[in-house]
Amino acid sequence: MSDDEAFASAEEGEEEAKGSKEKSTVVEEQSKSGQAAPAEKGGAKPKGKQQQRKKKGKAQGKATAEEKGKASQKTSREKSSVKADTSTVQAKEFQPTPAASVESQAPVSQSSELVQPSTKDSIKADSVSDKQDSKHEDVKDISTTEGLPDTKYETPRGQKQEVLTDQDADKSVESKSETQPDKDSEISAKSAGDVRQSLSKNTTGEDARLGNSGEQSIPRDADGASPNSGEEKLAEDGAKDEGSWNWGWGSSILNAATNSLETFSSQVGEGLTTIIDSVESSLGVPSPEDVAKADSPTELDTVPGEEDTVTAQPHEKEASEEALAAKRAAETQKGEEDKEAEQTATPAAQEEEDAAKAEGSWLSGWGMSSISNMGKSLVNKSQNLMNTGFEKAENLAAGGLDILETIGKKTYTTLTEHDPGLRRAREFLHLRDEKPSLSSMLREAQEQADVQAKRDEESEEALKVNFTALFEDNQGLAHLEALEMLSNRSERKVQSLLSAMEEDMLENIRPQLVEIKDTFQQAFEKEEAGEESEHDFSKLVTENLSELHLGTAPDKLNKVQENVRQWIADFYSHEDHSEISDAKEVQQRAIQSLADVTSKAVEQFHKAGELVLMQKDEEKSYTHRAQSLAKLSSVLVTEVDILASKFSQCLNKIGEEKKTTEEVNPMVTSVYLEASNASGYIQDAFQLLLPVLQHAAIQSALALSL
Amino acid sequence: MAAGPYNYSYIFKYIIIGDMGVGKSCLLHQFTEKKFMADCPHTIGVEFGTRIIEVTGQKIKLQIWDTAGQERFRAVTRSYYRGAAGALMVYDITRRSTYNHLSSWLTDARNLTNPNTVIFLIGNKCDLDAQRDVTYEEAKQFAEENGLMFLECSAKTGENVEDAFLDTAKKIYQNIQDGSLDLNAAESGVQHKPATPRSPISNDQPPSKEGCAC
Repeated sequence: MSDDEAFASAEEGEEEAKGSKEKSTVVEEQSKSGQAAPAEKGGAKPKGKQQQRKKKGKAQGKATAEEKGKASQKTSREKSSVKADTSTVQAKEFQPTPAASVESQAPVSQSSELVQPSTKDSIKADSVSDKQDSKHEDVKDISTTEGLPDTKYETPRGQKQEVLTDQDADKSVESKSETQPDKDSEISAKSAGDVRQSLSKNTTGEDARLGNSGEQSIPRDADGASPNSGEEKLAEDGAKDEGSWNWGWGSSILNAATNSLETFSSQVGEGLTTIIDSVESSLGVPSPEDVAKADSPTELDTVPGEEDTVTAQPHEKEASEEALAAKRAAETQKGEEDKEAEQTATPAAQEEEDAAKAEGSWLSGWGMSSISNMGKSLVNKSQNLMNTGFEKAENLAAGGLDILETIGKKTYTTLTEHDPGLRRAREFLHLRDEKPSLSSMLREAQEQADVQAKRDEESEEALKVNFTALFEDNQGLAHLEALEMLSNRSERKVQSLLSAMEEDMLENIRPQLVEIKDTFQQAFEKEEAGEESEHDFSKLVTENLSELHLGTAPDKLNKVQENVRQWIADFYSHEDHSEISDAKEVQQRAIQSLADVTSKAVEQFHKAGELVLMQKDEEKSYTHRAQSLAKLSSVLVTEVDILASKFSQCLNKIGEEKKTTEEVNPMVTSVYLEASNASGYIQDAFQLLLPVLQHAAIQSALALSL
Repeated sequence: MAAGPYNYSYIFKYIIIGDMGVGKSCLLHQFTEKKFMADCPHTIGVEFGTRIIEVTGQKIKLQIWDTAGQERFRAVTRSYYRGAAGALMVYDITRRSTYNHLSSWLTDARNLTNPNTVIFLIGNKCDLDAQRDVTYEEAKQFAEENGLMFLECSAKTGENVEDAFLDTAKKIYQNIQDGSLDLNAAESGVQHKPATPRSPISNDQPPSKEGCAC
């Protein structure tokens, strides 16, 4: 690791840990030593945990610390939390038998993969493996969520985990807690006193380790070695075990050791404060006396397992309750003590001294002289070691931690911010998946159903006033269709006949065809002015039809028209129009009448067309017949207009009488609209007769010429 | 005529053909009104009848074109074959001439409709068995030789009238189902309709009907 990074990490460390003076100094020292890199690995884990516990453990950590009535500064708490973390780490590592633990520990801190095999060997493989599993999961989570390949971050696996923990402190805590329950079951049987003992043992053991690490800068075996004999053995082991990850391990151990020192000092005080929930709870529960008992060297061997037990009981309510109580107590006493804790935290030497002081003062305060003595002796021993190499080692460790923290942060930011494409992609995919979500589909379906239901409902009503529907029901549409087919066929015939016709014949017939065509085109141009004037419908219709000389009487058409007129007359004859019918009924009647008349008109045109083609009556010219048909159509259109205006008057009368003009107005509009529709159908039917008449004219001309 | 229900899925166009006086209009009337029209006037050109039936759960509107049987209308009625999904070819079992003309009608039906048009042979007036001039067997054989469906009916009693119209519809629907009848073809004689009626908005334009392509 470069010095810059180390510094950077140190800065960040300051931000996060309020009492980070120590760290910065440590970092500097580390950079001097130049061995920060190896330290990373080992340091990674503790740091991640640090942060976790910073987040979560602050409250509880404080509480536990204060339980014992020993105030601690925030910095000390954070540090102590760090220590607690490390201690827990160690505890985990300790689970296996001390001898095997050395190896197993390193893997845990470095890479979860490595850890697994060794831990399996260990006695408490289950619990360990659980932990690892949880870590693995974390790792997976990272890789999956962030989409980054594992290979990139293989070296700092611990980092990954810690990144995760940073992100989801809760999660990691939970996972750990999950692992802990296993132990809980085992440990639950143990009395709180044991827990405390274990704590005290841990601290002492760590002290010993610290000493070892201080001598050799790589205290691998410290864990395995019994805390009591720690110093000497550790020194030897450390020398033997120097390796790539020894550093990491060593650093972790160192951290743990420093932490343990602090915890020890503050433990009596509050060292245990920020320890993970579990540690806190477990530590907090037992009484000082138990802790004192724990000091005995023989018990130290058991410490690892017990520590596990301690860590195993994170979420117990007792801890939190005690923590609260401790807070109050601690706050009162804090002031000076906090300072002391800070001082102890920064340099290793100071730590030890302070720790010793703290122990003395606090322990005595709590009537735990035995513990304090033990602690003092341990501290003294460790002090020597610390003076030599431990400082460096710890600095390295701290620096490594900082660096790791930096790396972890950078990794996280890189993952989250510096790969916006990935994030966008994820969001995009996420959105994509959710866009056609069930709810939206249901909503759409609901809307469609509503629209459908509404339409059905409306259609029921609309059918009664739907001109086209009524027109179709009256077979007007069918007649129009048939007329259209007839017209099309005639048009084809006209084309074929004309193309096959001789020149002089063509010249003879052309004027007549043009005349017929003009008649059709002009039929409605001159009619515009004369509309609205009352007329004798049946007379005009009958006249014009007879002019066609087709032998058909407009019976149906006249009958329908008469009925409509009669209805209108009846309506006007009554004083109280609303008695006869309401506006809705009148509207329906109006449109029904228009459809009837139009249907019959179209049918009449259709029949006329059929008859024109069939009859060989040469009495009337086809031009004349065309004119008659034009007049007939204009009469029909006029009649439609008259009917529309009469029905509208009916509606308006009802509207005036019932003061429902606003309600009636759209009905009047619809009547006029359908009237124009009817006129359109009539004129269309009329225009369809043009080819039919031309066809008939040519036929007759051809027949004459023969 | 009241506004009929519009919840049908298809419109089938039928055309009824056959000699004058065989009872085409009476068959239609019997089918649509379930009544026998004793003094039926000569049909001019073509008349129309509609009825909504149900075939395998599908509501189908039958649009029936009842053509004039008079020979003078023959030229005009030939215009109306186009686009028929079903053709009911009727003869009078009491008049052999009407049976003998079937080949002429069949030729028109074959030439003026599309190949998938279902042609149903109906021997009308089977209630007048005493005056029978055409045996069931020979008509049945004629139908089989020409690939026609066949029934003897009575417009007067209503016997088999319903079956003739419904069997034709079933056959057409079957052709639709097995894909032999292409609904998209201009002259299939079948209109696929949504179950809902046209909205009033569509009234503005007179609908251009099928068969206008020429």
